[in-house]
Amino acid sequence: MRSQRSPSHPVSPGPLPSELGGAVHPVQSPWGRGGAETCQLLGSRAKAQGCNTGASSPARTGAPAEGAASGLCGPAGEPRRQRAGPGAAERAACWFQAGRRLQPPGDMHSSSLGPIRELSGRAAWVLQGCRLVPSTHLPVTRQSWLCAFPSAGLPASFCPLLSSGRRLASVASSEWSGGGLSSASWEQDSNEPAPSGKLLEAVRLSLAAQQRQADIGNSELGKMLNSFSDMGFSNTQIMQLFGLQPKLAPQTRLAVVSELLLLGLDADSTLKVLQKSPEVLRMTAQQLRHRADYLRRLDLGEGNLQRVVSHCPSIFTLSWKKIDAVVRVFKEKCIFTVDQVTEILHRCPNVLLEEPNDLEYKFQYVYFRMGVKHKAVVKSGLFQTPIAEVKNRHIFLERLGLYQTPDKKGQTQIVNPKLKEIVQVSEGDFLAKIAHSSLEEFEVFKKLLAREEGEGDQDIASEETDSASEGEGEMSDSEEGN
Amino acid sequence: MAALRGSARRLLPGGLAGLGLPPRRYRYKEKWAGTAPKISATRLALQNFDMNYSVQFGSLWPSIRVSLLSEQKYGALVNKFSDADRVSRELELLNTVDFVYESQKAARHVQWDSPVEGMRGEETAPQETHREQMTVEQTQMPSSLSTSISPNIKCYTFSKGDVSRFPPARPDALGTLGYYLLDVASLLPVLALNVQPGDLVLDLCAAPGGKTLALLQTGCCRHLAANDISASRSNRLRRVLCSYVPKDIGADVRITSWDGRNWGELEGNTYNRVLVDVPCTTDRHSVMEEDNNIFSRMRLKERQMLPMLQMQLLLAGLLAARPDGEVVYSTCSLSQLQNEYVVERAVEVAETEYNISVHVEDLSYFRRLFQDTFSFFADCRLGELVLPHLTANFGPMYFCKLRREQ
Repeated sequence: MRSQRSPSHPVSPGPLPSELGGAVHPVQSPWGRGGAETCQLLGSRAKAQGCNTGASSPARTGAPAEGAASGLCGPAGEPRRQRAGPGAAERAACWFQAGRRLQPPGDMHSSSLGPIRELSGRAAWVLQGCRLVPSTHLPVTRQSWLCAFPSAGLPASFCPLLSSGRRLASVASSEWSGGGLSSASWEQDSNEPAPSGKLLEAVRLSLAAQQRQADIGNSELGKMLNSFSDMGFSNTQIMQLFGLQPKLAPQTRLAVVSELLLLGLDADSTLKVLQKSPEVLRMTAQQLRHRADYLRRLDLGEGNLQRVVSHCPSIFTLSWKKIDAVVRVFKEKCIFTVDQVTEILHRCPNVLLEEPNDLEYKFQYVYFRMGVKHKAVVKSGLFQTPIAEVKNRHIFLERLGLYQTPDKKGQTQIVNPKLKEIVQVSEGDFLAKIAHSSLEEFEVFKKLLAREEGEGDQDIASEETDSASEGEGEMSDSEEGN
Repeated sequence: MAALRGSARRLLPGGLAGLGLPPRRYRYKEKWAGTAPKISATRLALQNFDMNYSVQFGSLWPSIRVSLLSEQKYGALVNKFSDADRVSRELELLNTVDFVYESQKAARHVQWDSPVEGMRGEETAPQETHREQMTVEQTQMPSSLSTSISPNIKCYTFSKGDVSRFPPARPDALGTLGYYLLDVASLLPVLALNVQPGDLVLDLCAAPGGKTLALLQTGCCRHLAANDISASRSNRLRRVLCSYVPKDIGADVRITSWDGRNWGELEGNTYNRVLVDVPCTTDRHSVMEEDNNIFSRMRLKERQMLPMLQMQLLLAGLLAARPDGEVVYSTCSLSQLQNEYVVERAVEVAETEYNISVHVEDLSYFRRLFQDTFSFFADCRLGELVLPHLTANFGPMYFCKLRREQ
């Protein structure tokens, strides 16, 4: 697993600039070709990447990203290839983006300088974004770049860059802002070095409205807005971002957002996370990094994270104890393997929000009462379904005679339906295909069962507290009311 | 794996009994065995039913099975000997409905449609033919259906799909209870018996007394003989009648504890109406209750002899009925061996050994009358069978009406 995980975040600023020859190109006019089209292209690529990060397995996402890129490239035709070698750029973007397997450099043979340009641009932007290298200090032009890397040796030269990137990614510390998210606004920046006056005005107004002293200069604010745009936020999104926790300094906001982007979330998800749990903005970079580490150790980084976050945006603010308790229940009480635990977390991220006791009960019910083993439990997505629903369906099947608890040898007289078929299908499908029963019957049954369970609870409570004194009931000769 | 906690005890099928502990009531009684039987009687019963009824009912069986294993639905038989109006009103407030009345009302609407057309057509005809027309109508579809079922029985139930429970009956000022909670399907044999005013009625296996009480509600019994072979159950019957029926009416009831099979010799050719509600495997009880379960190994012989016993009881009932009297045979089992086969055999024996010809009455009108409340089995050779269904969890109840001919 480790070896498969591709480098995602160039984290240390130090080595990279040296690799790039110590100078990076700010996003300037050389990029300004065929304006709107590029913008759109990159923008749509952003979306493609956005969807891709939703996929759960790293291996798979490389291909669709490729496919999307080539799809985008196709209609564009010839002129595209000159410009940013979109396919290659896409791949580079992928590399910077969350956890994709790196395409072998051999692929990037076409319009060979494209990738370098793209990379340089990105690196420039990245560096600029984190304010480590003030933009004024990056005067290197494209030409100097070309001198630095002889075209023939492109693949070879590309490799060290990539390999260094890999090295960088494995180091966990960061001041990088945003793992090279698609730059929807390459074009914007190239044409207008300063953010649109309108946006600036709007943000100023919002800050003023919140009575926050605008103690940063207009140009500073402008640059920050630039960075936000670079990261892929649309203007409206930026407005929303600033709307959250308005008292916060824009710098902190930027830092937190960058950290989140570094983890591999795209702009939309970041916004969603922050909207759902704005207290994330208050977390320090340190805390965020620790959480990011922990999540990565659970193999919940990068692509998987996107999915997890959309289900459970408060994952960053959950106490470490809580997440750990859940993981421990799975490993120690339910005796899942580490791989199985990871898969459960991937499929059902909501488990992090649940009580460990409930999870244990659910597992025990399915394991003892239904006789389902670990592998099937993991594959079935059991933890997405509430326990009441599982019980309703299982006991309904059992009383219909369609499900039998295996005896101590694990045998049954009939073939039980699989847990996946019981739990993951809609109610209509369940009734039609598995239970062969009607909705009215199931509705009545659910009511009856709820009542039985309620009374069962009372019984157990009274039994546990009861002493030896019990009454003599009228017994044995009783039949049903004749 | 972690030890099973308190809440996890519920996970075991059969509850604590699955752990080998007898139920709480009997845990400290010395005369009971220390360990529970290896395979519980309820499981044996369920296996038996799965084997037999899946063949008999086919695709209907799962639906019946889940109903048998779920909580039964009760109805409230109104005791007219207490303040019947107040009780009815109280019950109606609970959002229940008198199913007997409702079914008859629905039937009367249907009935008025067709004869009305016939009558209009015949208006010009002379009186006799008009009357003939009416009688023809009556034989085709018994017109005033209210005369075909026992009168004066009121029983409230919740509507289909409503799983509410009745509160227990409260005694009124005189100490009589307002209503009797029972399985509504057990009223159907009583209704089918069609008791007429002034009838002599015999209830051959009366305990614990629900059907006997219903017979008394009709108010038509000049004399009611209630018998049950078990003395303790006869006592129970007596107690029920005490709680529900005033002393003067109770005087017309004779409670006995004799063997029902002897009734032919005891009181042959006596009764207008006979109700033979035989002991059976009580399917619903057998899959739910472990106590005294007829499928337990102790009672194996008894269970194997059941069909023979049932046939003998029915025969005795037929002998006790006077000519042109009516006998209703009922069980609360789904098994054909205890239902149709017993009836056929009894009819055969009555024919061959006692020279009594018996006619099996058609109850399909009866079934149509109550089909909105109950779920009937469509393919009974003889008689009618109420199937448990989750929306109408009554029964099982088999009943068959026989008429002893002249």
